[in-house]
Amino acid sequence: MSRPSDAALWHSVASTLREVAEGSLAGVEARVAVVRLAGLAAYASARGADPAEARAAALATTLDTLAQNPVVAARWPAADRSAETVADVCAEVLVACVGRDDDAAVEVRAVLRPVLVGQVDDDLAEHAVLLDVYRGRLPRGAR
Amino acid sequence: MALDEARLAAFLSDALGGPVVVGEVSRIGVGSSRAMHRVDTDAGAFVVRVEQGGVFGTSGAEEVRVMQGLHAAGVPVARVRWAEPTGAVLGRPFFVMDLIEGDPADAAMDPATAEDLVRALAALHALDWRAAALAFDVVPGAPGEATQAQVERWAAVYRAAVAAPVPLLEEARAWLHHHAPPLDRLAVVHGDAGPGNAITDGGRVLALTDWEFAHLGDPAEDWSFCLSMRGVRTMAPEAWRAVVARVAGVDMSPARWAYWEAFNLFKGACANLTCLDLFERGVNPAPDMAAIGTSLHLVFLRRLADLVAAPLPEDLP
Repeated sequence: MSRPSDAALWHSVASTLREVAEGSLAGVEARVAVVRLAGLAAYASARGADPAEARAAALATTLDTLAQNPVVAARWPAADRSAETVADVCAEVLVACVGRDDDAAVEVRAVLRPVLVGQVDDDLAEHAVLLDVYRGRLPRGAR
Repeated sequence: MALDEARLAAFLSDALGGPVVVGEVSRIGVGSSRAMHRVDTDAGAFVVRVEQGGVFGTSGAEEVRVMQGLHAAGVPVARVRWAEPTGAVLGRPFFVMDLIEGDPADAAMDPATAEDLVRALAALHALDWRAAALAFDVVPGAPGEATQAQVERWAAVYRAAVAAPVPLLEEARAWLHHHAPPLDRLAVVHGDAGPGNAITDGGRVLALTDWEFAHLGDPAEDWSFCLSMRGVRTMAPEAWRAVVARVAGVDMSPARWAYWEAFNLFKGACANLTCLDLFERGVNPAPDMAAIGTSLHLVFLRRLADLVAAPLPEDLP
């Protein structure tokens, strides 16, 4: 999953603070906006480096391990190992296995799927503070 | 973004053919895809519903047409008075509807309210949409094509919002196509059904609200959405299932409930990605756009991934 850029985060801060300062957001709306900004700031300050490249590499390595699998072999290796190409191949491979319970499909789901789901779990952990943002709650630990 | 009250007053004056004085303006709720404002004037109280840059990929123009058709057909929806689709007046497209005084059903949920909400949805699903001349953007050629069409609709929405495919979403798309239940009759589906989108008074539903997801399809989508998404904070799923069976006569198999839960998670995961796109491009820099496009999308995607990986249901294709 791509994540908000630093530029977009700063734009949100500037835009929201302007609305509060100018009175476009007032009362409860202003409070909710400020709470959400606190959450955004907590998220921005705590997040690590963009994992996109490392994740693409991990998925490419996983596809490499499935090189003998006929579903994967029909699509991999690809022209390059870019994040977009790896995502394309992973999507095609999973789609090709839907509704199948043969050995090749079972292997794909057993090997490739956990890596993808694990990446979703890692993203969930990194972005958990933004769920507080969505619910209008101050991030845990904020005073 | 605050409403430009002077420009709104000028618009209303033009629409009503005489000067209108705008009094108090207040934001209603905290929805993300449309900003709702209560506007009190000397000509009456209205609700102004303003688009937010394309959040969720839904069409305001279709929403207006559908609401007008449903109102004319006697469905409990607010009457849409005027629409401004260009953004020339307030900076974003909007429409004006009559205010309906009441309580949101999720704040006033009790057995009578739950039953009346189910009754209202069942009546919506039973509506003869052709006789009512409802003008939807997408009309499937046959009922059996409807669910597939909606899967493709949401897949297209998410693909337009991202630079690369999301493998688990693509897998879910294929799974939903593979297991789509048969459908004999096209019905009007609300698409975002539940207590948060109903106004009630004393256990009676006065209006169903938020029609941007309405389409032609399988009513099971609404029952599942009500039970597993919008309604889950007000009543346990088992209680919702009992009310839906008793009041609407709907009794779905566990497999079919699971399918439609997966569909609604897919719909939500796809729609939520539009928020991150709009946030990133600066079109809608509100902080909740980042939250919906990341954390909420991920919550839906994770649950969807589990459902898709579960053993194949028995009574589905």
